[in-house]
Amino acid sequence: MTRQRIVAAVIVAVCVLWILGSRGFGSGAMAALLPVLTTAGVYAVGGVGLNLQYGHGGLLNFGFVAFMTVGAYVMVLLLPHRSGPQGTVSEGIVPLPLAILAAALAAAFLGLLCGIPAIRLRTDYLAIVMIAVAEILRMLARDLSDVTGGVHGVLAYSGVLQDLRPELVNSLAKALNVQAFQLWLCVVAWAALILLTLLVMGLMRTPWGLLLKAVRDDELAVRSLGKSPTVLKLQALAIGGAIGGLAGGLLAFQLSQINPDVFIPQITFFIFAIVTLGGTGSTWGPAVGGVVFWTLLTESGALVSQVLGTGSAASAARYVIVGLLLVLLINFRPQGLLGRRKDVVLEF
Amino acid sequence: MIEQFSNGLILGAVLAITSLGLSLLFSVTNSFSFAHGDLVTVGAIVAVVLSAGVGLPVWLSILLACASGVLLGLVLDRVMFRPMRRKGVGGITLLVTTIGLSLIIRYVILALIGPGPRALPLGQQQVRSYLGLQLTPSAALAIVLSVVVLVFVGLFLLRTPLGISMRAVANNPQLAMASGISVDRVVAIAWAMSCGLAALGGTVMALTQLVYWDMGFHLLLLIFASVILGGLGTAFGAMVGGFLIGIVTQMSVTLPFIRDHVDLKIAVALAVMAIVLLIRPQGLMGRAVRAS
Repeated sequence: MTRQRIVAAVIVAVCVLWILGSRGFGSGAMAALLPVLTTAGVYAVGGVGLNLQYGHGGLLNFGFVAFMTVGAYVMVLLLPHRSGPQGTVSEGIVPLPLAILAAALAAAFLGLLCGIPAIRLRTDYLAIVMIAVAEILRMLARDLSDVTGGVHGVLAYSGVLQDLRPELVNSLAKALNVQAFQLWLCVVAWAALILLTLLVMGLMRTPWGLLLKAVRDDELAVRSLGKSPTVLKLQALAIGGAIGGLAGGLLAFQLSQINPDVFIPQITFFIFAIVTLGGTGSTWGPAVGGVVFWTLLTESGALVSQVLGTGSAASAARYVIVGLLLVLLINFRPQGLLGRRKDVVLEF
Repeated sequence: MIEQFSNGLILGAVLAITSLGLSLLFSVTNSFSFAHGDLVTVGAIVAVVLSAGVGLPVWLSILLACASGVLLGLVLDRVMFRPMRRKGVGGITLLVTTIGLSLIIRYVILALIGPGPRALPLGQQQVRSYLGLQLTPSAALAIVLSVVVLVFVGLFLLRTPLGISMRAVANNPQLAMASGISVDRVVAIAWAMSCGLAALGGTVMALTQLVYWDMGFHLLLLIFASVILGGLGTAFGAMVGGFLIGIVTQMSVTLPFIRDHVDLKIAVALAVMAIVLLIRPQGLMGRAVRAS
């Protein structure tokens, strides 16, 4: 176990050095590293949610992006924003903490709503129902343009978060020669990631967490002890969904404007790859997986575009790499970097 | 109304063919393939490239596109899935592998042909009336072709020894193996048929609409809906489910709210699937099995 952790730490360090090194460790290197780290942090928060559902609870969910869609839209629509083709200005309805809370609650509610009909069916039915829900939500966001701004999306809501930026971050940004808002985003994403990871770690040590793992490993045994696997699975779906909602909110802040086409099914598969890479069912797997995954994606994308130019072929190559990564990982090292083989559910 | 019904019939034909493929695959491997939609795209793209690019006649390029689908299925089974079967992996591993495969196929297609739309060189198409349906000649041909193929696959499953052994493996692999059926061979044939049917579905789409690099992926959800609606692993259920979902999807455009939000027609189809799952989890033609 400790050896595994040392290897993972070394790999993360190599990733960071790789990004810095590819910019020659110069003044631009830090500025190149920040966006990658921020994206890694945001997706890793999603990974923590999916890991709770899939890694700890054994719930197969291929529509995880649905929670992020709901979280992101609920949050930005409650904050002061502009939306639609004319950029209609809307006043904020609630302060930032309440908007974030609402995002998490709405996503948790979505989890219950989808889980109640689908959770008693075959494992792979839930996966398919969730994909369908995610796509329906995306189409709704596109079509209900009076509320969501349609394809023109929602923008200019980031001010609320940036107003909270402490002076310390400003001076640190000046010292590192990076933009202050970028550094603040990175700090917020990683603070959320660490907090949520610790929260889930604590949760999994409670009797509830142990029972959830038991449901994953042997549902019949749990039932024979008089506990309801259905209720536990629903709770896991809702809590993981709430974390997904938070990840959606963070993604919205990171992008500084959102539209329905942000929330494509690929996001789910990226997060799935991150969880698998880091180690399904491990505590720090999503964080490690996030950094390694986005380093691979960014840097290999840069390498490929040096060979192929910057056309659609180069951007397509990134996704081919993700596909290969998934296939190879799940077949040859299903436990990822930090996971234990016995935590990985591979049968229905 | 008639126009929407005709469109529904076209989509239904595509869905019936493709979900028949997925259902056959499910019945012998007990797992979905997320790459199925992208194999549909492969069929369409091969047909378009061979006819519009190379200059072969349209009928020949459709035939070759189906053949390439069958070949791809055999290769995938041999290279990827048979070694996995030998190692005894299944379930989620197989599912995630097909997700990876679908990403690879989709983006290799994007890299090769680019994001723009392509079309078969069919010339000017006029909508005419066939048996009261409003169709272009190539669309009518597509529907007839689909129905003929569906009938042949049905006869194959019911009457030929190979089809019967396929249903035997689907029903009980251990028993089939004990009675001397080569499961490996049957699974290989299922992959070949499923990919071939997917490619055929793609060429039917190419006959009636423009071809995009991610069109199969967008179809995938409707294919899942058809398979689940008809009953998992039931060949005839998949055909019925495909036509039902296709017609419901296109007819829903005439509903009051959907009329102004045409993209939501897919949401209607998926909602129908969800309702059927609630009331009858085994699908229209599936046998009731206790879900664990």
